Amino acid sequence: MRISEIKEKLNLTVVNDGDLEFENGYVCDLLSVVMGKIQPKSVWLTVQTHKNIVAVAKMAEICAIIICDGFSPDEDTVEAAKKEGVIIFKTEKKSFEVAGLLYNMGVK
Amino acid sequence: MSEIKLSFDIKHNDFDRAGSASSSLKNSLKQLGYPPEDIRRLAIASYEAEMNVVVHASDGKMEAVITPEMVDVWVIDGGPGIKNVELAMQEGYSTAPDKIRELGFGAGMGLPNIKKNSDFFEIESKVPDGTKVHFIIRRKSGK
Repeated sequence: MRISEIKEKLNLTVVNDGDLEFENGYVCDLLSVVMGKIQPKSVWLTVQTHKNIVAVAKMAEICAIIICDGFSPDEDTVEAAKKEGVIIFKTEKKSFEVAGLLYNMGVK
Repeated sequence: MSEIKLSFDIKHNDFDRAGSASSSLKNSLKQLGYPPEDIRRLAIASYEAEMNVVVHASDGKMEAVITPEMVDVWVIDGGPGIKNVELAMQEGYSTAPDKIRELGFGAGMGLPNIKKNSDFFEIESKVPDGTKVHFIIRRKSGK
């Protein structure tokens, strides 16, 4: 599935746009748990907003970060994402709801 | 290519630059044509080791030797050392302060993640002198 497809269907707000092919999803706010358990080619749902989420995404080859529950990324997070080419969206929807919607679209 | 040696300084509590050593190391491997899965393992292991210094230790350094067959990484800090290494190796055990946990660090998965993603792992720690983490990623596939 394409990132652009979920952006449109879930009506996500763009923080740093981009488009990639992805396969899996993961929800967690503990960075090391994400690093240890997220599968390659995943989107990551979190409520963390600081700059280190960009580093985690880069290191673990995460396709896109979706910041849920109405949180907004810090200014330097946005700067880092643009510099490193990490795709970030945000949404008012809760992590649980976003995960459910993605699951129903076939993302496991 | 025979071997490439890289060295990076890591600063305690510098969350702004945190991850920059691992990021540089990762880019070097990419340029050398390492397979993506090996690069990912290296990136995760080195990021965890780097963050351990940023969160827990005084200043430290990361030293890496890259050959066509493997990446050999040492992360060395100047203390305070780990009181109980066996406990620190258990998933979920953490001594991170609350402020750092709020950022999502301190899940107690750092050292286990390094071990899981590497082909060789050893840790040596002495209170109050410091900790040495040594791991190797062997090139799994590709020529």
